[in-house]
This record gives sequence, structure tokens and C-alpha cells, in this order.
Amino acid sequence: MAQYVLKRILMIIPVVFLVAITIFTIMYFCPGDPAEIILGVGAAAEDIEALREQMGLNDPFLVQLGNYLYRTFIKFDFGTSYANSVPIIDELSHRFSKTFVLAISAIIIEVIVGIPLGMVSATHRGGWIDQLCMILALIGISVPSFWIGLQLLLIFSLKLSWLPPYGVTTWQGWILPIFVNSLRGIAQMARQARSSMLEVIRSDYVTTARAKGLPERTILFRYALPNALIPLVQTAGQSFGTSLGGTVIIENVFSIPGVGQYMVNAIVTRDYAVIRSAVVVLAIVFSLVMLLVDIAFGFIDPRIKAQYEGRNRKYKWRKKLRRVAANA
Amino acid sequence: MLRTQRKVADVTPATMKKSKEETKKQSQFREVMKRLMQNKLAVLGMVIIIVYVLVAIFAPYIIKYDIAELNLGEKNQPPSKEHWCGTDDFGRDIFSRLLYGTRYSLGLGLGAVALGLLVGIILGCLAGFFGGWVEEIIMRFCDLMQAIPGTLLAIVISMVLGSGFVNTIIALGIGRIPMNSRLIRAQFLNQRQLEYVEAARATNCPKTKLMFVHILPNTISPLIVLSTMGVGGTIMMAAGLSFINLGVQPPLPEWGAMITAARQYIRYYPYQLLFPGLFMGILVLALNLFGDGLRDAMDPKLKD
Repeated sequence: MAQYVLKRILMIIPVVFLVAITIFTIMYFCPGDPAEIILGVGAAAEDIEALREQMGLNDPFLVQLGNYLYRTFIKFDFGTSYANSVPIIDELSHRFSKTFVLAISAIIIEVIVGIPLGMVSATHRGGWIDQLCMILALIGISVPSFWIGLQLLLIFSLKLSWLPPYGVTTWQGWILPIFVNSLRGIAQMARQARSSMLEVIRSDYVTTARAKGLPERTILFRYALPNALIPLVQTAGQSFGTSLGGTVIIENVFSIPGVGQYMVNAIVTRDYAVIRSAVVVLAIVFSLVMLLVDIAFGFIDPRIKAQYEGRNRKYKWRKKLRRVAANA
Repeated sequence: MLRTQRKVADVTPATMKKSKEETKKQSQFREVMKRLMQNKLAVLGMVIIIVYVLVAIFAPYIIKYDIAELNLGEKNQPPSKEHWCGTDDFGRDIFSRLLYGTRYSLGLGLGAVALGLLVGIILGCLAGFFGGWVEEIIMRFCDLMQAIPGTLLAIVISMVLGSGFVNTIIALGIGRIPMNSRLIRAQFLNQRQLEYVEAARATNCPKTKLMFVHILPNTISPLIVLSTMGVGGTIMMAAGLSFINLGVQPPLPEWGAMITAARQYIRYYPYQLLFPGLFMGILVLALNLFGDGLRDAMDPKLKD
């Protein structure tokens, strides 16, 4: 298993680099001159030219890319914001925790609520519980989350005044954002869990277990559930990406000072350096979470486990054979 | 399933080929339609989608009020007999704008999905058919695109392209490419070793014909389902982009842009916010119902 884990960890390094390169390359084609954005429209041409030179904007693309990678990954320097020359890394580091809490708690709620809903639906297939859950799930994936967020904000914060309308200074402030960010995921998870469970229930070994006369509870929890859960780990990982992207919009709805809000403000002022850094950081975090999912997969899925342990055994056997051959 | 069709294509005599293929194809299609029609929710979804499409096509002829003309004397009116959904902050009739906005929102969804399908299918076919370094390059490209969360990728691309209808279609469509080409490639790998491919090769069938005429139709059914559901997701994502000052911007009556514009009046005129979301929600719900029904109809095994 150590081999599997090590392989996954090594594979993440090129991914992180390539993600940074891709985002840099795409953003390289952004319209507008950063030097002009920083100095404003009325700036003198020679000032703009001087700043371009200073920022290295006149260098060839590859030199700029190299500099960017060097600063980002070696010196952990994301540059400064065009708008107020504050180092981006400072802003990101104190905003990041809020975004991460928002994204990760959405995933946790998705798993805790979505999977049981899907399982109950699958085991009561066709019944009213199943139909109710699935209709709710269908509605859940059909309404835009920021619209739901605004409606809930209107009801609970502005009309009923139960919850604060903006910010997360108190714990009540977190309730709506987390709920809204997890809504779509819960629905998706429930649907996935249901179809995954149904597939398992139909499989031969469950039929065999039934034929042996095992109690239904044992069949469900000991035989069906573990196998049905395997593909859901992947779904959870993937929906972390969705949830992370969703924070950009949700933070804007609820005025949460996270990375997403920073990004949206930067979109308005065309502050490319901020957007680039924020996207790179979020994408790297996503890659790292997917890495954890992959590693977890190795431990959960007996097929992957067997593949690696089997291979080791094969090598040992080969070594032994070689030793025997050498002795003979 | 559609997968079993067209197995004998090129090896049967030319005269037989056509009639046989025709009947087989038709019966497959009829089978799927029959199962689809039995699913009441899917039919409901289909009817709603058709209504929306008709509204989008005939929008200029059905709306009662101009969508752009300002009428400050009638601004921020609540829903009434004349203005079913009220008027907005410039006195424009919200219902008319919603109907007209179907063009933008549905157009965005369909356009982006079509773009993703077109490029995704071509890349997927190439990867699945040729294998080797072609496959390697295309698949690594997909890996890379999928390593960036979809919303963020769309944000970055629309940042570069700027806002606007066509640019938003491109920004959202690019994000759908990797998923589609992966799916097509996986299907191709299954099909590649079947006898009918071998038979077609043996008859010296041109590669492009083999790829697009023989193999592709057998691989496309899961993609149809995925794309139907994708239209809804894309419409919502487009609305999300409008919400963060990218994508389609006011004064165009795209639903997301309307929600964004209504946001500042949330406390006083909540109906301005309510209706665009409901309009969008119903369309996306219909697309999802139809997509679910289509999946069950195409692959009855998955259903129960």
C-alpha cells in the first residue's frame, strides 16, 4: 500500500504545476494592460512603459511564465494586488480559512444527509419515502443555489430577523451559507447513493446472501452498504470541487470575506493578479483533496488493495525464484 | 439499448443493408420512445421543454411590452393584471422580459452543451479509435481541465473572453469537453474489439467512416442523457456567472442577469427576484425529469 500512496503523492506534483501553468497561460490572454489598470486611464505613456518594464511584462511569454512559477512555488510570493498593492498572499491566507470551512462543511453535510437519504430510498424503492426523497432531490438539483440563498436570506434574515443578513462574525451567520452551499450536493449525493445501492442490491452476491436466509439487516449493512459506498467516495471528492467553486458565488450572496469574495471584487476591478492567484490556490486545494480521496480509495476498495499487494507478492516470488536459480 | 444496432452494416450485401439497417434503427428508436412515453414525469418534462422552446422561438410575437423601453412612471409595480410579474426598477414588464429571456438562457444552455458535445465527441473518437500517443495527449489534456473546478475554469475563461452571449457559450462549453470525450473514449474502447468493427476493417472501410458512421452511433446513448441533464446545469452556471459580473450582463434579459439586477431591491420588491428564479427552476426541473426518463428508457436495466 505504501507504494500506492507514494505513487499518488508523486503524481500530484506535475498536476499542480500544470494547473498553475494552464491558468497562467489562459490569463495571459486577458484583454487590457495590467500596467494601465494599475496606473489608471489618464496615466502618461512613459510611466506605463516604465511600469511594464518593472513588472516584466515586456519579457517573452516563457520568461514571464518561468518567473511566475519561480515566485509562486519557490518563494510563495503571489505578487501584489493591482488595486491597493497589498501582497496577495496575506489577503489569501487570512481569507482562506472561511472559504475552506464553507466548502468542507458542505461536503460533510452532503455525506451525512445525502447518503442515508439515498439508502433509504433504495431500500424502500417505489414507496412514498422513495418518491418524496427523489422529488426533493430533483428539485434540489434544479434550482440555482444563489437564488435559493437570496430567498432564504429574505425570509430568515430580513423578514424574520432570526439570522444575521451578512457576515460570519457569529455562528448563526454560518447556518445559511453552509446550508445553501450543501443543498445541491445533498440532492446529487442522494441520487447517486440510491442508484449505487440499487445496483448492489441487484448483484448476485446479495441474491446469494438472501438465498442463504440471512436476515435483511445483515444483508444491507454487512454486504450491500460497504460496496455501495465505494463509488460514493469519488462523488464526494468531485463535489468538493463543485462546492469550492460554489463558495465564490455563495460568499458573494452572504457577504462572507473569503477567497471568493476577494475574487469577485477583483473581477470588477480587473485585478488579474488576484484572480489568477485565487484560482491557482483553490485548484491546488482541490487537487490535494482529490489526492486524499484517491488514497482513501486505495484503502477502501479491496480491488486496488489487492492489485498492489498482489504485485508485491509477485515480486517476492520472482526474487525467490531468482535466488533459487542463482544457487542452482 | 442502442448499442446492439448496426452490427452487420458493411458485410451484408448492399441491397439488404439499407432496409435492414433502417428497420433496426427505427425499431430501436420506437422502443425507446415507447418506454419514454410510459413515464409520465418524463412526458411532463418534455411538454414543458417544448413550451419553453416555442416561447423562445416566438418570444417577439407573444410579449405584450417592449423589453428594453424604459417607463419610469410605472417602475417597481407589484404583480397585477397588466403586469403579471410586476415591473422592474426601470418600469419594464418583468413577464415580457422573462419570456424574451428564454432565448438567452435556453440558448446559452443549448449552445454550450452543443459546443461541448461537438469538440468532446471529436476528441473522444480520436482518442478511443487511434489509441497510442493521440489518446495519451487528449486524455492528459482532459485530466488537466478536470483538475480545475468547473466554476473556476468558467470564470477564468470568461475573464479572458469578456462578457457577452457567445463568449459565455464558449466559456461554459469548454468546461464540458473533457467529460464528454472521456465518456466517448471509454465507450470506444468497449466497441473497438467487437466483431462488427473487425468486419468493417476487413472490408477496407475508410477510417473516418468506421469511426463516425459505424462506431459512434453505438457509443452515443449515455452521452445523450448526460447532455440533456447538462443543459440545465449549464443554464444555472450561466446565471451564476452573471451574478458575479461575468457572463451575460444587464440590460439583456437573461434570467441570471435579472436576478442580479433585482438583488439590490430584495428587501422592498422581492417579487422581482422570485420570478426569474422560478422560471429557471421550472425549465431545469423539466430538463432533469426528461433526462431521467431518457436514461431509464435507453437503459431499462438501470431503472428498477
